[in-house]
Order: sequence, then C-alpha cells, then structure tokens
Amino acid sequence: MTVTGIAMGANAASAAKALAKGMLWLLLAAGPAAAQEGLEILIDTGVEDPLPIAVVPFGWAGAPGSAPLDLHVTIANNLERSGRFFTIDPLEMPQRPTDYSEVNFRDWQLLQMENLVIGHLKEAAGGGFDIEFRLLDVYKETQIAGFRIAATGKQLRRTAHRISDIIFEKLTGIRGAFDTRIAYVTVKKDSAGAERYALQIADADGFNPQVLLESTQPLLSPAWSPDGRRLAYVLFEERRGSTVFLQDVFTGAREKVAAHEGINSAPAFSPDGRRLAMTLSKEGNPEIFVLNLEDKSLQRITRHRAIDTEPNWSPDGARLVFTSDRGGSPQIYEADLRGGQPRRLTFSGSYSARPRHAPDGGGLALVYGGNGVYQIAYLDLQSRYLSVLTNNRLDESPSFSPNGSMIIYATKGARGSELAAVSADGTVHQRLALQDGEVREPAWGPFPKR
Amino acid sequence: MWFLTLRSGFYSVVLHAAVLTLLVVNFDAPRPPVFKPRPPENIVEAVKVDDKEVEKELQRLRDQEKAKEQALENKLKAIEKRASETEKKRQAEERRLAAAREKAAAEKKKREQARLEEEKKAAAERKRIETEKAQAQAELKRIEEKKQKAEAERKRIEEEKRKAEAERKRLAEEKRKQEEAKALQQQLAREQRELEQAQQQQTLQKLTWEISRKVSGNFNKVGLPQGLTCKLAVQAIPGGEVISVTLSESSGNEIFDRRAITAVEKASPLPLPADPALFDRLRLRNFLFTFAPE
Repeated sequence: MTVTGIAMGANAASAAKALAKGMLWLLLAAGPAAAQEGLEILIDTGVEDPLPIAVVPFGWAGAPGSAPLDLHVTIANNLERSGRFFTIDPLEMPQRPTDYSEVNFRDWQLLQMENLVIGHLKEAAGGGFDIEFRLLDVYKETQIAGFRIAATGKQLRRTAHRISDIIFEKLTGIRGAFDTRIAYVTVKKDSAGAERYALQIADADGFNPQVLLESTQPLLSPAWSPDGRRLAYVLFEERRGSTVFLQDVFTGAREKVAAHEGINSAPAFSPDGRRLAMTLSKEGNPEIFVLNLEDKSLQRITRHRAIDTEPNWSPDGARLVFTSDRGGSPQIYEADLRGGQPRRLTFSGSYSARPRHAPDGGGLALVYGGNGVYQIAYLDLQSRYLSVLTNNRLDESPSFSPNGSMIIYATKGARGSELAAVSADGTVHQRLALQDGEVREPAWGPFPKR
Repeated sequence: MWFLTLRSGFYSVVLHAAVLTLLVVNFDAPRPPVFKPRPPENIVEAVKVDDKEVEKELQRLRDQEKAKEQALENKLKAIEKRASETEKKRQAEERRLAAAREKAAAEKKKREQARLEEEKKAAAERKRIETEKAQAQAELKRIEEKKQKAEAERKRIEEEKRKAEAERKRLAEEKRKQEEAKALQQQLAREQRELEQAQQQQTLQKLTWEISRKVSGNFNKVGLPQGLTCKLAVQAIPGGEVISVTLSESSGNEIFDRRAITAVEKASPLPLPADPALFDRLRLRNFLFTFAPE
C-alpha cells in the first residue's frame, strides 16, 4: 500500500464565489466602514456534537455493484462508531461528486455538512487498485487533505481504515485508531455440547477475524505486546491448571512463560515490551509479579494475604494498578515498582476491578458495581472523579483504543457475552455483533507502525 | 528828673535805714513796728538847722515880712489881674457858652440827626435783620426743602435701587429659571441621548447575545484541547450574510481555527438588521470574534 498526497485541483463554483467575495471586499474596502471596528464578540461556549460529514460513494468505473469494496460504507461506519461524527445516507445527498471540480459547496452548506469525503476507486494497470480520496471543508470551500493510495484487493478494507484514520486525525486532531486490531476470546458449543474456546484477532470494526488458537480448555486474558507482534494469554492445560503463554501473531509460534504451581494469570506487557506483569500464587497466595522477559527473573510486587490480581502498567512503566480485596471488597490499588505500600485508588462502591490505563495516563477504565450490576466506569486519576460510562447490567474487561477515544468491553447480551464499545466520554454506545457465540475479554491492540 | 532820681536815692537810703532799724528793733524787743514817714523837705531843713543860724533866721523873718508885703501887693495885683481875667473869663465864658449852646444845638441837631440816622439805621438794621431772618428762614426752608428733596431723592434712589435690585433679582431669577430650563432641556436631551445610547447599547447587546448564541450553537468544540483561543475578523452585510471570515489570530491549532471559522460560516446569516442605515449606524459591518471556550 502506497500513499501519495494530491493537490486541490480546480473547482469552478468555488473559484467564482471566491472571485465574487473578492469583489465585495474591494467594494467594501472603498467604503468608510472598511476599518476594523465594531462589535467584539466572545464565544466562550460551544456544543459538543458529532461532526457532520458526508462520505460520498467512491467513483467506480466498472459495472454498478461490482466494486470490490464499498469504501464509503466502511469509512462512514468507522467514523460513526467513533462517536465523533455523524454521517448521512447517500440517498440524502444533494449530489454525488467524485472529483473536486464537481463539488457544489453551496448544496452541502445548505445541508450543514461541514466536511465532505469524495474519491474514486480504479483498477490499476499492473493489478490491484488505485484509490484517490479528498477531504473537503464545505464552508471554507477548500481541501483539507487529499491522497492517492495504491492497494491490493486484500488491502482494500485496511485502506478504508487508513483513510478513516486520516479523516479522523485531520478533523479531531487525534490519531485515528481504525487501522488497529482487537484480540478476544470466543466460546462456542460444539455439536456434542462441549465448549470450544478460540483466541481471535479482528480489525477494530470486527471484520477480518482470524483464529490464532483453538482449545477445548478455557482460554483467558489476551494481552497485546506494545509492538502488536505478540499476544500473551492464559490457557488452562489439562491436569496442570493455568499457564501463561506468549504467541507470535504472525508466525503462530508460542512460548510458555509462566507455569508455576497454582494460579498463573492476568498477563500484562510493560510499555517497553520487556516485562510481563502477572498474578502468580506460587507462594500460596495470589500476588502480583513482574517477569523480565529477557532474563526470566521474577520480581514480586505485592505482599498481602488478600487476593491481588489484574495488574496493568502505567504508560510510563513506573507503576502498576491492580485489583485487591485487601480492604474487604475488590478495589483498585496502585503499586510503585520501586517498592512501598500500594495505595488505594477507588473508594466508592463495593466493587471496582480490572483497571486499564488510558493511553494518556490520565485515568483508568474499570469495572464498577455491586449487587449484580457491573458497568464500565472511568476514574479520573487527577480529580479522583469516577464516572460510569455504560448502562448495562453485566459488563466486563474494558480496554482502551490506542488513541484513548474509545473503550471496548464485553457485556452480557441476548445471545450471551458480546462486544460493545463506548466513547471515552460515555456519549456513544454500540454493540459489535461479530459472529455466533460468546465473545469475551477484548483487548484493543496498539497503533500500527507509521 | 534829677529830682526824682535824688528822691528815689533818698528813699532808698531811708528804706535801708528803716529796714535796718526794723531789723535792730526787731532784735531788741518785740515791739510793734513804728514807721512814720515824714515829708522829705522837713528832714532836709531839720538837717540844715544849727546855732549860728539864728541871725539868719531873723534875717529870714524880715525877709519873710518883706516878702509878705510883696506878696500882698502881688496878691492885689493878682486879684486885680484875676478880676480882669475873670471878666475876660466871663466873657470868654459867655462866648464859650454861646458857642456851647450853639455847639449844643448843633450837637443836638447833630444828635437828632444822628438819632434819626440811628433810627433809620436801626430800621434798616431791623429790616436787614428781618430780611436776614427771612432770608435765613427762606434758607432754612430751602435747606429743609433741599433736605426733603434730598430725602426724597434718597428715597427715590433707594426706591430705584430697590427696584433695580428687584429687577436684578428678577432678572437673575429669570436667568436662573432659564438656565434651569436650559439645564433641564440639556438634561432631557442628555437623557434622551443616553436613552438612545442605552437603547442602541441594548440593541447591540441583544445582537451580540444573539450572534454569540448562534455562533456558539455552531461552534463544535468536541474533542478539542482546552485553553485555546483564536480571533476571527468577520465582515457581514445588512441582513447578516457573512461575506468574509479571516483568521486574525490563530490558536496554533489548525482544527480549532477551522471549527471557529466553520461556526461563523454556519451561523450565516447572522441575526443582524436588514436596514442598511441602522446597520451602518450600529457599525455592524465588521466583527471581531474571539473564540475562547471555557
């Protein structure tokens, strides 16, 4: 996939209007009121609405309906799912331009569409496809971004994600996380009624699922390495119990990293990818340990007769948050890797567990609840303010998108456990009904290398 | 003269002797002082008497007799002489008397004349006095009149002064009233102006608020970092259509700036009056928007 920037090109209508504006300018400049005076107006508030954007169906030279992928659909879905945008159906569009020169900005202004995505898809001479797209500012009547991308047929969906990322970043200032992947565990019952577990990876929108591992034994707690090349997970082995594995996503090669007596669970990669925090009960009681992946040395972090588990690294790699019932009920604690007493972070409610740092380190996503209701909440680490983001009965396993704008989690739906996502501010909710069976413990992967 | 000198010299001697005597007597015994002045001739004769002078005395007596006879003769002659003289004197007297009578008559006449003159004079004097008196009276009267006149004048002047004062006061009052009226007028004008200004201000405030509301309602700050500020220079035409939006001060964040521009463009037409006159009076062609969301 190669990406090339493209220039704005000509737009007759916009040029005419610019000319008209220029003339008005001249007329006004001659008048007495041309001097900069008059009202000064302070805009100290605003709205927080999804940004209106129209993703026009991409042009396709072939027969209608024969395009290998409806790029605009993937892009629009991505943008909608982020909670930052709202899109309109192509049927409501006043025109469907595919080239800059065809755009009538006035029409889109009447619709109050702030941005427009146009482009086309062509079969490339040497096989594969050429995709050209432009992101336009409807009110400024100008191009914000334009790229030409060459891709293979298999890369088309990913190309749509990349385009989505570009749009997202250009319009929000935040790096898009559409071209990322999620790992999760599925549970299905086979014809004999036995449960079958699978570790899977899919695009962030749930498409392109790939099975990494299948097992009749429970599979748990997938965790991404920071470079996105490896997954750590827990597999129950017959007669042995829980074991922590590392598996290469691309080669499938796997390695057993923790198979101690008792519990081996809840692996979490350090931000530098060299260490793995885990819960081990090899000394009798579940405690947090850090395994050095290079020299295999173990550092014990907690020392308490209560259960300490579900460690998660702070983005600077200096601290670990974890769940502990040392205070009588499960709550979140933080331990400094250099030592010292862990300090308690959550105080409200009877249940706070499974903490996950936001990528900016400003807060934690966690499962919060009690009395049979468990929801995803966000704890602001500075204000200590805890806000509940979801409105379900049984939520679990929150995981931040790498740009921090969304949290994916598992929730109990009509067909069992399924994936759902919520925007980090709690305003946009959606279910990601991927496939049959239960889906558990999603883990959002890192950004791809730029 | 010489005699007087001698006599005084003599007196001086005597007085000296007397004083001396007195002093002696006084020293001798407390007797009342006796001082018997005698005529100086006797003293001189007494002093010149001595024994050898008897003859001289006799001689002197003979001489004296002879002198007496002589004297009688002289006396007769003198009487005769005196008689003639008396006659002469009587005649003279008569002449004198006649003259005197004449003189008296003349004098009487003269006196009469003088009396008359006097009377005339007195009458004249009286008349003069009376005249003077009358004149004085008249003068008095005149003075009185003058005084009265002066008084009247004074009163008149006083009155005039009073009137002038009253006039002055009236004028001052009038002026004051005029000024008050003027001030009131000005006050009213000012109030009117202020009212208009206030109304204009109110209109502007209302417009500002409405514009701010409309623009804010179109300013989508979702996902934007906090603490950013940008300024836009905006031109509008009557009716509110925005004809230009210029970024006059960037926030440093391209997306923030673009959202602000979009907010103004989307808010076009701004809620502005369509009347060009009002539009210009309120100076609504140019705006400066400051986007500083809290």
